[in-house]
Amino acid sequence: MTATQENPMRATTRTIDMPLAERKERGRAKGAALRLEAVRKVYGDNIVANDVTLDIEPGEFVTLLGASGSGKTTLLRMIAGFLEPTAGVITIDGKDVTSVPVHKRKIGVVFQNYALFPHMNVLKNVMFPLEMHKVPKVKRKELARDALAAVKLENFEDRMPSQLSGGQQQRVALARAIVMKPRLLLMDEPLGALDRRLREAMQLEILKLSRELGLTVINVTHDQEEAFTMSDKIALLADGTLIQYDEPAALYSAPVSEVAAEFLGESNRFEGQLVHEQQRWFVRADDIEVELTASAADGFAEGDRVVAVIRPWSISLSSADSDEQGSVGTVSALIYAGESQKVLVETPLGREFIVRRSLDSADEQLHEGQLVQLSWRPDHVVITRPR
Amino acid sequence: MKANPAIKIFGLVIAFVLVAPTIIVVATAFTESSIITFPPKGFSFRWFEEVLTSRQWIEALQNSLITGAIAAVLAVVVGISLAMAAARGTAIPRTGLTTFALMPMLVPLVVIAIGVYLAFVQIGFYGNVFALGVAHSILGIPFVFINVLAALTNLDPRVEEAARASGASYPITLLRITVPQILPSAFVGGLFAFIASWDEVVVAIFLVTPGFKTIPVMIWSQVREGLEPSTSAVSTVLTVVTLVVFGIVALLNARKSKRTATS
Repeated sequence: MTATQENPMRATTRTIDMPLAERKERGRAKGAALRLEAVRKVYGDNIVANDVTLDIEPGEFVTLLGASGSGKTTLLRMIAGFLEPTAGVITIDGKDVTSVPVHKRKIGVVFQNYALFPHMNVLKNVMFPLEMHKVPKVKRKELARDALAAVKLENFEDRMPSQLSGGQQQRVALARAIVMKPRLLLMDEPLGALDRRLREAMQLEILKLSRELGLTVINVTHDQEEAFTMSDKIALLADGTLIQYDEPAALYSAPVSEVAAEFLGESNRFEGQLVHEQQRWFVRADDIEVELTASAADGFAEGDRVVAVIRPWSISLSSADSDEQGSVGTVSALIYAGESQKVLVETPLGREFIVRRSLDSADEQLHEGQLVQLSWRPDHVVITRPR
Repeated sequence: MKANPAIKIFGLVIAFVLVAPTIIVVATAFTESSIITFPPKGFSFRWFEEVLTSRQWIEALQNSLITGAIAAVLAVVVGISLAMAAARGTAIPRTGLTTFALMPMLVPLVVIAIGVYLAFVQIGFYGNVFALGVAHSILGIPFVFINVLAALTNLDPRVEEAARASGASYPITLLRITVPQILPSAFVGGLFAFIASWDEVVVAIFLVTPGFKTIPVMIWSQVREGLEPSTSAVSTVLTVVTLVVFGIVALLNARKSKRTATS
């Protein structure tokens, strides 16, 4: 990079809302391409990564999402080079790096607990990667300061890590990870230790920064909200197996299995038989019949055992009389959760529905024990295979 | 919580029993008379003067200090290495290494002394600060080992991984990231190792010569010839140095706990 060139860490172009394709066109996707081919990791009898194959394009922000023990961190550690896969190949920009040691991979890594060097001040922490990569001494300070400016920590150079708050420490960790301008940034639950408000602010900042630098980012989290907010694509993992790899919207609206549907937020699920009657599609269970659109039934055949999924936000409630048609139930609990209200409704046959309503909506007030009618639109129903 | 009066009295008695000998020795060092009596007669610094102007005592003092320093440095180097091997290495099982490193604490001192004596006399390595320093470092190793191993166990492995991801090879990571973090603990272990050498008689007796003595050995031989207040004065000096070193340890620990409290 020549001195007159624009410092990418100070770039101001708004790229945060840009879809990936557009970012690519505008040359903002300078990150590395990453490919995992049937990557497998076995500890004794325990398969922690079961032949995972993933293709990650340059500049993509991909989240490895899964519960604890799903193998997401193991996968990240293999990509970083802290672990060697039992089998399979990892390539960065087409080059096989499977057995390249971590310090030669030229990646940035951010850890959940920050992992700053406690005996070095902020500036020295950020300068450390530059020193390790033999960047000339005269340039180190300037580059480190640019990185610190990028994370808005200009006046903290001389502080020791123990003198910083959690959020500030995470910014230093981020600055240290990007100071070498790696093309691949790996983050292991980077926001897990921060409180909610800070977490949301940092999500936005990390996203902005990674887009401006055009980085390919692999982020690990168990927080599905974070995954949906930040990612171009989500790789959903369970028990070491890749369940689904898709864009967030597709993941939400078309979960490939009940496991996927279950993990991606609260849902009402009804297992039953797919029926086709009078040009209409239904999932028929013992106590309930759920209509769905023909497009949702695409790929399934009549008579299949399926699970119908209805998201809590898709159900609306209205007060009902006892003799009303359709799904009727009693409000069993009202829970306030931030900006929304969670309503649990129990049907006479003992099935429980989860419904979410916005608090500021003009919806009528509900009270426990009230009889309500549940309704939803057929196009909000998705079906998937049972586990 | 308020302590029961009986417990308080019991505690005071125990404390007195523990401290009394030291008080008696220190007090008798300030006597005016030429024999040790308690309570001391009058108050004077004459015995300190005599000790600190005696060439024999000054030489012994120097010998003790240098021996202690050599023992401490060697114990730190070996102790850190053993602790590293125990915490990070895979070649030797951790329990085996720990037992080995703590051996000097478990084996009777006199056995170590005889062993060292037999080996060192074979090669003519005795009667100087280096020989005794090496012998004493054996006694100091467990202090460094325990301290450093505890510090290593408390280290966040992610910090080392962060260094690796920053482009540092494994040896560089150890040198630049791991060792600096455990250095304060190693230093405290080193101070303990110094103390262990500073007041050691048993091993020293085997390795001294008429021309090379340390303070504890001098005290020992003088007491056998007959008690003199100068012995008390030397003992006081010995005690003060020990207390100062422990004061440094306490200060370091206080600073460390303050730092962890703020983070």
